[in-house]
Amino acid sequence: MGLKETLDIKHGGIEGFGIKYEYLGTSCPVEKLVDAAIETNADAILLSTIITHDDVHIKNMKKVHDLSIEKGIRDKVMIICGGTQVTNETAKEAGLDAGFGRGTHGIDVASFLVKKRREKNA
Amino acid sequence: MKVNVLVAEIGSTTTVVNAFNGIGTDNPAFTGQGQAPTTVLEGDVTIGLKGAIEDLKKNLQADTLTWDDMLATSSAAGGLKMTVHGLVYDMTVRAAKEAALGAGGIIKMITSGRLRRTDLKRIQEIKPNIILVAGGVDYGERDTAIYNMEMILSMGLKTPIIYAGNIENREEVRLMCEEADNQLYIAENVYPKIDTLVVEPTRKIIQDVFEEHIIHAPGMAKVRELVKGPIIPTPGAVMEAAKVLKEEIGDLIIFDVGGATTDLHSVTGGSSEINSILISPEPVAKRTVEGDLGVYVNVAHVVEKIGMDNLKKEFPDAEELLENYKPIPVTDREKQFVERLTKEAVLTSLERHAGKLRYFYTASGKKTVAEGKDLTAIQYIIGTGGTLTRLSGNKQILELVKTYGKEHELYPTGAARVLIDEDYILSSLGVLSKSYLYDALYLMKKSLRM
Repeated sequence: MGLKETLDIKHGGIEGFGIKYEYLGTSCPVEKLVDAAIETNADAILLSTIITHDDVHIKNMKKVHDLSIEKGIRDKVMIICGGTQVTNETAKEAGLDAGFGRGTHGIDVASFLVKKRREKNA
Repeated sequence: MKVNVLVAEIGSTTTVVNAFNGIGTDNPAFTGQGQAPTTVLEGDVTIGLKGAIEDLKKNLQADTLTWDDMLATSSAAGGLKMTVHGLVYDMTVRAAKEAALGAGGIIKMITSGRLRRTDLKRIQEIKPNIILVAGGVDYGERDTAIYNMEMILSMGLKTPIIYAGNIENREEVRLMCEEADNQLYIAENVYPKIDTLVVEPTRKIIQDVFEEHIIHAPGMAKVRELVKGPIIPTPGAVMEAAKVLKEEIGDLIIFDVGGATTDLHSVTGGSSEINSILISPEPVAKRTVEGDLGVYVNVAHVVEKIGMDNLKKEFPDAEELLENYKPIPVTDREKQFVERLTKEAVLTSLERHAGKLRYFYTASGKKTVAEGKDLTAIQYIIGTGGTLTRLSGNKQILELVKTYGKEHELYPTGAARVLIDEDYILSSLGVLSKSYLYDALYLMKKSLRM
């Protein structure tokens, strides 16, 4: 499942659970992803990636995490990555809050976001 | 003698008055010019204005002179000094900056995120004419702009503030300014959502505030006794000319190499090919100002840019030429030398104004994106300002713009045509276009010899 399906209400994405999102399109630079999260006051950043040689996808995940620290929003924002080759373990290793791989759906992401947000606000 | 319209250009050192006749007819004409030293620092701008009008009378060989309307552009009293405050540098800060520059402002300070005490101290030292506050897309982040407003108001400056941030904050901001008895102007959000720039409404408000408050600037109190029509910041007038001319003839860029700065104004939507890979939006009308590129006050910077050793290869007598450097070159050798420096200012300012292609690596391989202003669809390259209108090699210098790019730059192409503002009146015509659009366009084309 692609990122758009994870978001879109038609495909059982997180939109259906009352979560608002701003879609930044494919091949969005990491800087823009984090900047947009700040300006929109987002609770979470969702990114999707496919497997690559040389682990570019892991480097990119780490970059989002690092840049969020640099820009001072990492404590506030949840960062989640999805993609067929992504596992929860690799995502967490790269510093993210969770990874969603093959066989997961919008409802799984939405549940995570709600639980994690509750935890953060507690 | 009677003329229809006088346009005054009140500069920091010289006040120029241009006279126009035949306004409203089929054949408007630029009839004459007069100039005198600016007298803002002496405390009354009208003395210089009257001096320039006297000079004009002499040039027109008229004993008396009357006119229907008088307009002005002004860069005296330090011009339109602004400070700009937003949230994220590449988004709301940049949008606010583009708005201020396009209006003709001189940006003295830019901050992103929360203001610090040191920032406040700097604002107090700068004494801006206008403070512009943005931050947050609509219904997005709210706290930073509110915090910054509180900090700015805590200084009790009474400087007019323009708020162009998240619309959700408007009532809050209004209340804060009411309580602090500070003048507030609300503009549309300059960055209402991701990838959307809305700079024109804020530009208009900036110019309105400038006009409204100009009489409070030192030495400008009596300006309204003479100038009854619009008064806009001089760089804003050139931008105004660029915008109306673009509607008439097509996408264009104007180079204005001055003694202290080099200004570029481009008005173009860019090519659709580049637009589809552009990562962040650019204003259609964009101005950049290079504070280090000028061929008189900043000649040392330009020489440094070329490198003394390189310059000596072309001009073995470079040191001598610099020692006897004059505001206006006289001998052929001096003119050649200024042309060389002007070329550097033109090409360097182009590098800074234009965007380029950038490659980056994603999970799906190498991607090409475009960043910055796309000038590839430019149809006209126009030269104005004292330097580019008077040097005999002006056209050759601007022709270089077409072939300067190597590969990745979004520069104008060979399809563009070079034009010169031969009468050197584009900024006057920019302000004239606010009241007399068709006459201004007619005169612009005439000056460009179109």
